[in-house]
Amino acid sequence: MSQSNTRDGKNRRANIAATTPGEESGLVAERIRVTIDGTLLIDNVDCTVARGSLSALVGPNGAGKSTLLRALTAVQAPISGTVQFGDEDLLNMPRRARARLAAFVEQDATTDSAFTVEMVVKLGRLPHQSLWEADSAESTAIVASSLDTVGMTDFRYREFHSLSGGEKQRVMLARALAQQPQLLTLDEPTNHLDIAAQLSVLELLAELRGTGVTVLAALHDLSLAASYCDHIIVLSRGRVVAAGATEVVLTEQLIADVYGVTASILRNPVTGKPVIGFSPAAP
Amino acid sequence: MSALTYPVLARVAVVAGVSVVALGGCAATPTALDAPTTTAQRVELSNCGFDVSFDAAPERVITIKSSTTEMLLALGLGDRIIGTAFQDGPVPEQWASDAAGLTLIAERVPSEEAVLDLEPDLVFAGWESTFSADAAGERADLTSFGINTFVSPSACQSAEQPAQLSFDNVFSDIETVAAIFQVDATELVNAQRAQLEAIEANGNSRTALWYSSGSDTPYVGAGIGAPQLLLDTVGLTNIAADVNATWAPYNWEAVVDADPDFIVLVDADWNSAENKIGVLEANPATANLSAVKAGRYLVVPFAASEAGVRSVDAAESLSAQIAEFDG
Amino acid sequence: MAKVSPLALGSALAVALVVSITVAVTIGPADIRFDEVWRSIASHLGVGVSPLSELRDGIVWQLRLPRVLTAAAVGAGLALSGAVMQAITRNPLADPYLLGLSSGAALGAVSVLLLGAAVLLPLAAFIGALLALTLTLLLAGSLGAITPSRTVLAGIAVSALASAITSFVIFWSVTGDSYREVLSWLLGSLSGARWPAVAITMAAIIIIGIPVMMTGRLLDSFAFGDLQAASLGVNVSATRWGLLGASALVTGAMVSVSGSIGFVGLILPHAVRLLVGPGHRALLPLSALLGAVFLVWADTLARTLFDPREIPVGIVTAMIGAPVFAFLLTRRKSST
Repeated sequence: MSQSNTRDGKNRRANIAATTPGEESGLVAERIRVTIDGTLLIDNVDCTVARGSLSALVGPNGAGKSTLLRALTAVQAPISGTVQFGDEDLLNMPRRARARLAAFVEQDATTDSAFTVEMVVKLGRLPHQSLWEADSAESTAIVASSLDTVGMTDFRYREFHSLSGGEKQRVMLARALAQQPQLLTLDEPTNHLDIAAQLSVLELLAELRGTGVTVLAALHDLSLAASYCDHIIVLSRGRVVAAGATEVVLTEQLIADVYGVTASILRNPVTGKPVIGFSPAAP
Repeated sequence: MSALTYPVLARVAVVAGVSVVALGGCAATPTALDAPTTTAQRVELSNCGFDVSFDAAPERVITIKSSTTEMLLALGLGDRIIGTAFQDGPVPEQWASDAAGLTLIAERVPSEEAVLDLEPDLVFAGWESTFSADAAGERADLTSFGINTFVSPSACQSAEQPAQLSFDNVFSDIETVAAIFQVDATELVNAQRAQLEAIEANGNSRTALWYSSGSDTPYVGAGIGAPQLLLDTVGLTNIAADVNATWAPYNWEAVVDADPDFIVLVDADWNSAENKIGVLEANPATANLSAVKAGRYLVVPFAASEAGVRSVDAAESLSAQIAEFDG
Repeated sequence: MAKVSPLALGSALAVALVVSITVAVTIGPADIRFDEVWRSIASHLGVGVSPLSELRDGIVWQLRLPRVLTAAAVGAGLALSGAVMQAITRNPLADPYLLGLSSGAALGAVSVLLLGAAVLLPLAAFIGALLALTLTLLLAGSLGAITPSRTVLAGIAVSALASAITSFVIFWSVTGDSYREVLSWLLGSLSGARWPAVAITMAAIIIIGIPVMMTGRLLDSFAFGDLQAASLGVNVSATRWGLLGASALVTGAMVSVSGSIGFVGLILPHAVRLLVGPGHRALLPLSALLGAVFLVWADTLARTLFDPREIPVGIVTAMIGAPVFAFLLTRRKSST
């Protein structure tokens, strides 16, 4: 396994070749700094996500994954830095235009409102509608197709509250898809889900690749990240430690350095994808 | 014999009364309360449902509200008043000199401590509400301090409220107070009766509104209290006579519907007759009332509008004002 | 499926409102016939001649009609503000008075009532409401970033302070039966509603209320929190403060005219929610319509139940509102 990109913990501009030559560039973020309540949470991060790829953002708790994701889509704007998506300057765009371009799925979405599944998904049409206009036929069709993509069409009129964790997550994903984004960022979409649900969410994200949507998901499960994501960005204490093709970046040494545990990278006999086993750090 | 209200009759137990008669006191008319003597007589009665007893005539009295102050002045007992409170207006001329020396201890209701500080033996109130813990003190409380409490019987609300106030109630109030102070009220009462007889009932069943206060919702004299009594005495019909209360909140629509011939305005320092005229004229609905357009207002000073020694004067004044409009 | 179609409910309520106003104006202590009432109103609008004497005509045109119209506007404004406050603070127990508005207005009103300058009442009440709101926001801001929960807490503190001062002012200076006027105001009363009150409240509804009613989608976006709303392209703080401010202005205008009528802003949005679900696009305008119909009838009851005595309408809304609220609470438990 090549160890060319890691080791010294310093920030590096990740050198990721576009997977499809001739396509527009994907997400390019430079010198992102985020300070909240006086604490520097993201320290001069550069990162790049190829267009149309499914990339993972990983790192230990407190590394700043959520903060970075929110900064990238200006949900919680960084205090300095630039974020480009193709030709668009994400941080300085008008809000609604940005919302038509980029969608964000929050961790652990909860609501007190007794919304139905359909109403939740309809929220995704907000950037495309003015306040007073009625729901157009096109909007209704997009809602329907988003529900269909995530396989929740039968749940359309159910109350959101009554769904299981995995079902809720899929509905939130449908909501994001209803925005018709080109960039989709998700914060820990597999949190608190059982295995089957986790896999189904990631399968869905992988399918999106074919539709040209660029997906960046913060994941805490390295095996899942390794299994599904072509590219990976490793964050530790507000800094990018490594970034690049998963097979290349994710080494046992890197994992040991970042997570403080001993890792063993194996291979899943069924899928052929890497599986990571952990044991306590050597004394 | 004056028709004392039943509870008073039943409860007044003059212990040595019989013996006084036997001693040949100079009682003019045979009432249940005999002529004053200097011997101490115990007077017991129920006042608004509260039992009170006087071993001797009170000597140090605090009066709350003008009605009680003026009652004592009328009975020539001004020298027993050690302090007054919550007065409603200037004292009428005939008692002005007696009133000159009176000390006002509070603009509104005095606190219990202020009352105790003066060491009274009686607190005589014109409104029953002044006897509460956050005001002058609960009646039982004051009694335990050896201070008697008395409310003008016509003003009782918690109990023993007159079902329909009459001048008999008013006069019996005077007589009851006189009995407590062991003085003779006969002359006063007779004079008032005579004055009452002489009043010309020139209302001729014309209608009247008794407007006490309030702007959005008028507060009016209703069917069973002093306003009704005074209006009846001069022969005016109260438009709110069917409301079973002494005073009550009313509504302007009913007033406009009735279009009263006269409007009686109660004049108090804190809510003047002028103020009420302003309200009537500012309200586009009431501005068209015939009484407002013609200025047919009858004014009654607040202190005289409650049952007391000025009630007869108030009725007389109303009659005179009506005569002025008619003449 | 929505339980009741919003469009159906909206149409029903709109019709109900027109009918309610039409009928309520003909009800009152004075005995005036239905046709006489409407011929009188028509004559003021330039059609025909009034069949009533000038005085009785005044009953209809100067007393009843402005009062009924004001009741409709106040009911609409309070219900709308309640729905907005519940959405912004994400608190189902929120009402329009949450930010110290009614306590501030009460202080202004009571002070002016006891000084005898009742003419200045609406202005004093409005200023009192806005002062209390300013104090609330300053207090919330002093705790750090202004969040909905901080604002609510600050509002509670300011309400308590204003109420304390109001109580003191009442206790210190009230005489004779001005207790009654003050109490009537504090309970909420429409007995003073004349044409100026109609102007104030209708202006508030038309200029501020109607634009607010159209922001339903924005309020829906807050369902999953500020971050998700921001990701949907909503300007979170501008929306929140804009709606808060608009709601406060509407409430201030209503309170200045009618005192603090309770339960309308708290209960009616919940009732509408039970019928058509939580989507604000329907909830806001339907709450306003229901509020209007409700208060027209509550006020009619207030002025005729004990004919010829009037009671403050706040008593009627409380007596209807409290048991309905209890009922709604039990229903909510099963649906949440």
